[in-house]
Amino acid sequence: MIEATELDRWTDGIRRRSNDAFTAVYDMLATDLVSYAFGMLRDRRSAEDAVQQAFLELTRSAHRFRGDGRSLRAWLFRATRYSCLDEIRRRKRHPEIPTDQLPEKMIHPADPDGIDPRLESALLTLNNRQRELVMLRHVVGLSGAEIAAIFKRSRPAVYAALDRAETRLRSELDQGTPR
Amino acid sequence: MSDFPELNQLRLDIPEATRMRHLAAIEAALRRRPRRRIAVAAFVAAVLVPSTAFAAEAALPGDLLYPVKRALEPVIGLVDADIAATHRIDELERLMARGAVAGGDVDRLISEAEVEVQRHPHLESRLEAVVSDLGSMGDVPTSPEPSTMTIAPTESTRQTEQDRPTDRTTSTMGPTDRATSTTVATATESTGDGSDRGSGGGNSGGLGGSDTTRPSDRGERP
Repeated sequence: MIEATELDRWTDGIRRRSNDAFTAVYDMLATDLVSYAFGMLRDRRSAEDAVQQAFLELTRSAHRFRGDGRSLRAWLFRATRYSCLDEIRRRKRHPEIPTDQLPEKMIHPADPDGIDPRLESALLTLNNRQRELVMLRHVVGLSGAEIAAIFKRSRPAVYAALDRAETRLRSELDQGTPR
Repeated sequence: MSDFPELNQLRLDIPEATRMRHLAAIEAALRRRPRRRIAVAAFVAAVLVPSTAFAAEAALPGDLLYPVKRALEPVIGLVDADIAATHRIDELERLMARGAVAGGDVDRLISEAEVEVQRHPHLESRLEAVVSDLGSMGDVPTSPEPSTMTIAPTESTRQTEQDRPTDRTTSTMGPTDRATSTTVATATESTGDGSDRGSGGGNSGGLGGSDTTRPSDRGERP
């Protein structure tokens, strides 16, 4: 994971809408953002589109951005999250989209990304918010404080919810029972 | 992350083609101006400019918005060819309504209106009417009214002579006053024969004055 201090040097460039700054920040965060979006949407293309939407939103709001690298990262994760939630709502409004793409169904058994079925089943036992917390903490590697900034919740609330999600996931993985 | 090493398989990489597509979209978005600036510019264009132009439409020489009105005339002239001539004549009429007389802005407006009217002859009669009215208004303060001038020397002078104790005690004042009234009356006669005879309504009722001027005035009336 990229340290927030490495992003600090690009915040001024982001404010000035510098293409170099946007390219550097994209290269530092795109993988984390796509992984997080993939955890929510379970579709690589949709996850990539959500990340692109987040950066395009940043181009429109960059002149108003005030903050350091940590704030910038939280802003981009939050924008990606909103893009994913929009996509989830759009899928629910259009039932012609296969239901196996919905987050509630998690990972399809024939998923080309080849996720371990045991992990897939364990993740399916978590609710949406718990899956997001697990992805941010254990796939992206964010701290509890940074996750709290993304969700705009208090740190104790985030730590408590994360603890419940980890306990549940560990229990499911230890059982090793495919669902 | 170390608590759940299984989750590492959920970490995705960005294919180079996707990266290039995203960066191209970002670069294109950065070339566009922020929407807020466009919105502000659109607001100014859509609200402030028409409202200023509308307010400037009623401006007269010396007003704050008069230069705006003049500056917009070439633009409005594209669809309304005689706008400048119409504006000048309107301004003359409104200045007259405010009691303006010849000189200064009025003379300048007349000159400009005459130039404009040469290009739009259908407004010529309107300009002539305005200038004619302006000329008659301008003569009023300088032309004495015959009736007033003929009454004043005779009756008021008599009263003054009666009221003033000094007139009785000082014998030299009487001829002086009479001489003054005679001079004024003479001036009235000469004025009555002048060019403003027709417009001077002071001969109504035939009050006072000499009989030599009255019949001619009455004879000219329709």
